[in-house]
Amino acid sequence: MVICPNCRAENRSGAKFCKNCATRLPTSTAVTRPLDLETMQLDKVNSPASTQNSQTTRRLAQNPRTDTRPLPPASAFDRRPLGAVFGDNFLYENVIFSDDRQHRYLVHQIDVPEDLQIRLCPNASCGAIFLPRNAVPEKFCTDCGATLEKGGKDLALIEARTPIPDNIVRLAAKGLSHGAVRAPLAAFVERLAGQPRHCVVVPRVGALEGVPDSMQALNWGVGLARGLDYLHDNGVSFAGHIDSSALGIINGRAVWANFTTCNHHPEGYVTERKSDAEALARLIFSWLTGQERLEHDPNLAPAINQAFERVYTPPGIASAGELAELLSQALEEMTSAKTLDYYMGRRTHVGMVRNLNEDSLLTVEINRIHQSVSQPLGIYVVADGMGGHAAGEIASGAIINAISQKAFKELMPAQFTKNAALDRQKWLREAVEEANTEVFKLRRSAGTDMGSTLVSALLEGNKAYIAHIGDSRAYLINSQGIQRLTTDHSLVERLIATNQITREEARHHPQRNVIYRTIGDKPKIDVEVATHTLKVGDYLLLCSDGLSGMVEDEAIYKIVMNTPSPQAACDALIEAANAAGGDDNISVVVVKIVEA
Amino acid sequence: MARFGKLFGRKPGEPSGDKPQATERSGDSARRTVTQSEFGLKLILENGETRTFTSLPISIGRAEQNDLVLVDDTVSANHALIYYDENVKDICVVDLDSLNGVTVDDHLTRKNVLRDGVRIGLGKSNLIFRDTGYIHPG
Repeated sequence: MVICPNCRAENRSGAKFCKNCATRLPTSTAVTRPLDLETMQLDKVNSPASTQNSQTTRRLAQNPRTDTRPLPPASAFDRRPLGAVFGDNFLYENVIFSDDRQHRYLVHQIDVPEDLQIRLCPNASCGAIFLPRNAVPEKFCTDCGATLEKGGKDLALIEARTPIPDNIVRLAAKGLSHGAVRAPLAAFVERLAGQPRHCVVVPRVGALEGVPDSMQALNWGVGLARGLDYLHDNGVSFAGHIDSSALGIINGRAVWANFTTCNHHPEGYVTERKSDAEALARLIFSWLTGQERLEHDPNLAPAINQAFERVYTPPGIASAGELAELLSQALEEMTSAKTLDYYMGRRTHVGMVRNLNEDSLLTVEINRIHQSVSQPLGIYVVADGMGGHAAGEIASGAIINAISQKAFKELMPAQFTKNAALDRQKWLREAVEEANTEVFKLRRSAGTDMGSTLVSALLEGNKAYIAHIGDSRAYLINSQGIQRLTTDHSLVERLIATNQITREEARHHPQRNVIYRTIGDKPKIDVEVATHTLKVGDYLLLCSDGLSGMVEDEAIYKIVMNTPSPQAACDALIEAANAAGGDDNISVVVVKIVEA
Repeated sequence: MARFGKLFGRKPGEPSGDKPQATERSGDSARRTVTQSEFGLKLILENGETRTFTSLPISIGRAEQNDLVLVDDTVSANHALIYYDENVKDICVVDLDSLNGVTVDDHLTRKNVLRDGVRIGLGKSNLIFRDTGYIHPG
């Protein structure tokens, strides 16, 4: 139960707006709730048969029927005639369906006094139904805050020979009101010629046919997940068994409408929150993909994959409310987020002093645009080989070969097949480790002192995974400035980190070229992979020390920001490095993040 | 048939203070005066006898205190009641929890709106209900 902070009215748990004054209510924290008297009394008010019963008993006492000759009971289960009034409350309009076990009628509530009226939220996206209650009747929708109107139209009445299941009777007595829930409204028994007729009144909903499209499925999913959370709050669960037969369609959206398989816990405590939420996630996933099993699906937008990843990756989700949040976030991201693309320039130059270019570059890009959602993937590597002729260029070449082979073997197929989501960070770390093993073997067999630095970036969507070894660098450049994403594995950086020299002194330090970690030096190598989030307008710059050792960061920033394209930036940067002396080979890759 | 007004409970034996005059539109919309014998609620028994009632409710049963007494041992002592239902806003028949039930046009029912010309079944007996546009003088 939620107490309104404004008017102190008692609202049902799960209510978002006060029924009496439409004030937004604090979110309910109470999960357990004792069975309240209100519910019990509602049953009396709600079921018109009860008043009838007392009258009936009186009449029975007055009129002993011993002398009335009984007719043989009608064997056929007869449907009601035109104009029948059910339970003193619902007037026959039409027969929807009829067989020898069950009749379904279209009915509406007759003009009962206001305190017995079924009320309806007029908001088309909500439409919650409010049953008459003996306490103060709701004036405002507890789900969306709209002023309630007279309802009771477009109801279905199911009349059967067999008793109504207890869970349905209890739900009707409870009176659930939520935009995504169309619970039973009334359950009663009438006796016709001594034979019981068991009646349930439910809001009329359409059948769910076919599969919704993906946006519809997500929109429905958000509503259904919120509705399921509300049901859980009110002691209703499906024990992890949820399929589309539990749903109906109203105003073009899915609602919870079939409660025959539900469990109702009278004291309101539900233990199946997690399994129900997961079952609903599987249902929504099957609408989106046709698959029952939750797994990464490359045909889905990344935002949706991320949402479902949260469901199937431990610890998973604890409640349907969490699922609603995840799905609505994914929806928001899909409708508002701009999709990204990469605009890349690259260039390598031998420099002004050396006559051998030992640097190697690798750029691999793949971009799928599906349903206007761009899913780019890019791998960019700059390797600065060392060791002179027949050593440096071989080492850096071996690195890019190893990484590109691994990319084509593992990363590319994962983009197109339904492999489980690849851990990009792990993949990049392994790629660098494998490249190191490759170069280490070459160095052993050649007997030279070959080695290489490396900076590599794996970009996917707006995520950048960056690994580096040695003094090749990655920079992030945007309107806010230039930022180094890597810390050189060099002696001078260590001296700076321990405050022994300043950054300015480092530029002229005699041992500024000494690096303590290289590819191919040792059989095993420590690789750190950093993750960054990129946004539209960002530049990612990878370079060898032929650029960063020759051109100041500030100058790099100015060149990148003032050139018309990433390629023009690369050309201008190499020109600048050569103009400053061009002491070493110069390699640059510039990737601009643009809107797709 | 268009209904012109409500019926209020007045016992059939009670003398009516004024002569109810009513007008009714026939097909060619000519106005004609309806005399008392032509209007009211009529229940046509199986033997062809017509019983006219000018007030509601009408109780039906085998017991003698009923407004309409049916001599039939499949009819309960107090079997059914025809009355004006304030909520439905129409003339209804209601089963008074009789042993053999009430049918309207051969379908079992408990409470039912009565339209002109329907057949009400009580036990083995049948009645035709005719609503001939009664207007209460009040």
